[in-house]
Amino acid sequence: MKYKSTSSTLIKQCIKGERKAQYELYEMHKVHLFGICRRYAKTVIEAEDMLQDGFYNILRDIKQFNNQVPLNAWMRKVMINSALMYIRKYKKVNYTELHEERVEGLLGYDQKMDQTDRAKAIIHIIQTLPEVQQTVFNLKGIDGYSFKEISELLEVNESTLRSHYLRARKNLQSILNKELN
Amino acid sequence: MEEKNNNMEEFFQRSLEQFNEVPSNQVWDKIDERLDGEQKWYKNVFPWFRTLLPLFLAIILLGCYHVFSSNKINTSNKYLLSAQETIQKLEKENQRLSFLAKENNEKINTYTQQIQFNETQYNSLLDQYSSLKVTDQKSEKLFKSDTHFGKAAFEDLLSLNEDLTNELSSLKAQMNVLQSENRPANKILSNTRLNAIDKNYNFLIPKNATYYYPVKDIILINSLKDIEGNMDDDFLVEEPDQISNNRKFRFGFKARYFNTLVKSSELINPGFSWGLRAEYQLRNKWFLTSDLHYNDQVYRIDPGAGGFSQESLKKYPLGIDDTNSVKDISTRTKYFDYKLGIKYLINPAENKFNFYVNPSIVWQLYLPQEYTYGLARANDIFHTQREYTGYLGSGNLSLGIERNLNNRMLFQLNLWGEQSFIELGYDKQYVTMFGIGSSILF
Repeated sequence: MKYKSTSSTLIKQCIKGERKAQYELYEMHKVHLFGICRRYAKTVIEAEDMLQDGFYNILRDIKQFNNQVPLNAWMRKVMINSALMYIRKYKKVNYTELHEERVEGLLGYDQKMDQTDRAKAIIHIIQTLPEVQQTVFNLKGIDGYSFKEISELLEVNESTLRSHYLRARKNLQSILNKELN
Repeated sequence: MEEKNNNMEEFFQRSLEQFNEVPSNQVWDKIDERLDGEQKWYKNVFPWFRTLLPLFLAIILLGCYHVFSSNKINTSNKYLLSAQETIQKLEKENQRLSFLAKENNEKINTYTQQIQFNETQYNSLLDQYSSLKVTDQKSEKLFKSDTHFGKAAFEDLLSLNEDLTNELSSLKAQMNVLQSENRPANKILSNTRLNAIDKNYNFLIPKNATYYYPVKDIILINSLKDIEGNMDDDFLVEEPDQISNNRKFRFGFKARYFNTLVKSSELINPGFSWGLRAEYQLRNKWFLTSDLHYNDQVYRIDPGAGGFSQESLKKYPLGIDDTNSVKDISTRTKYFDYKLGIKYLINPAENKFNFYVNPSIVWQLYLPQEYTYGLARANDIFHTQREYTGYLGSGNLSLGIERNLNNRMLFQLNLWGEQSFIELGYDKQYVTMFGIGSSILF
């Protein structure tokens, strides 16, 4: 019964366009999806815009969901694609340029802060990265995409992506060291 | 180094798992607004449109029929008005010719009287001359002395008489011409013919115009043929274009409602289809028919007497262990089918309902089938079998009636049944279908 899921009826209702079911699906997944958006966005407002676009796309494409992968994973993929579309559409980021950008993180990171605050702080750290590094680090470091997959998504060659990624890591390391010290 | 590197990513991932920030309520409100906008154009409209498609099709066809009928009525009215104008022209010409004929008659009478008077005078002089010559020899001298006068007077009378006779002949010839012209005009204007045209004209407009077209056309065209060649071109009315109903090739649209039965299915499983139809006349009563449909077919299988199709359960998509927990299986199949058949007209006749029989063989192209497995102790499972499959192994028999709506359109209504002789679909069913269909061909 590996495919049997409590949300299969909910998915069918969403496919039929029943608003109550769509809202229920949103309520079930909004925190998880908003976390993804916060990582890819610079501000809360941007993240909410991404969430709006992404969840609308999920409802639009849900009839294509075919139980081959878990619903969570499918929604996550759609949301990331939507976030990338948003960045491409509104920010005009050039992934091919390799400027050295200095990052100054001022997080007030405290080792004693609770788990929730730590998650927010981590997101804040990621948001301090330059736009390109932020996106590449999210895709590679957090969401587990390979450089090949990212290369296809962003249409940038792999060596450039590796450079962005290394710089992102270096910047993050620097911020973390500074905060932890 | 790699491990150290991975530690950083793991640290980030673990930390982010605890994220619990909630987006503002405005996010859902905006999604809701966008969905509302989308539903106006798609979600709400499409199911209604799909359901009402045959109705829309019928309205469109009726609209076409109305337009063609109106055109036909307009053409006929124009034709009748033109004929009436011709009659008015003929009446005026008839009056003119009658007046001329009357005038000439009067002249002829005058000249005839004058000739008769001259002839009387001539006869009197001739008698006088003869009596003088015969009865009184003595008076011969006198007569001879008067011969010059008598001869001259006599010759004058003869000459005058000859002129009058010539003029009379000319008038008679002119009269004949006038009468020959007047005759066909009178013929056209005869009461019988005028009444026939008026009668057709009067009941054409308020009643069912189409039904009387042939009668009216024949009368008008025949009446025109009577005057053709005898009258000036001004009096000729152009006949409307004649379009034959007997076309070799026809092409049009069709829609069908049907019920589907498979083994152990519910009795009512409604579906619909729509598509294109073409016919080619092979011989008088025989036609080659070709149909392409898009079908939306639904059927629900319940345990019933025969149980589920074992194939359906064997290929249960999730590898179910306890098949007893499946209480029903709903299948939705969208597919294209192509029918090739022969139509035989049982009683071919123009402008009547004709019965026909139309057997066909059927090809099907199944699009991905959708299955919903209703479970007794859990939520339903929805599954799409993503396969495109083609089949040839079904027969179709249609019994129907058809009628020409006008010169361009042929309407068909039929009852039909279809049986597959091979197993169809992912669940391998022998499918039986029956329903009603209609088509309009141009």
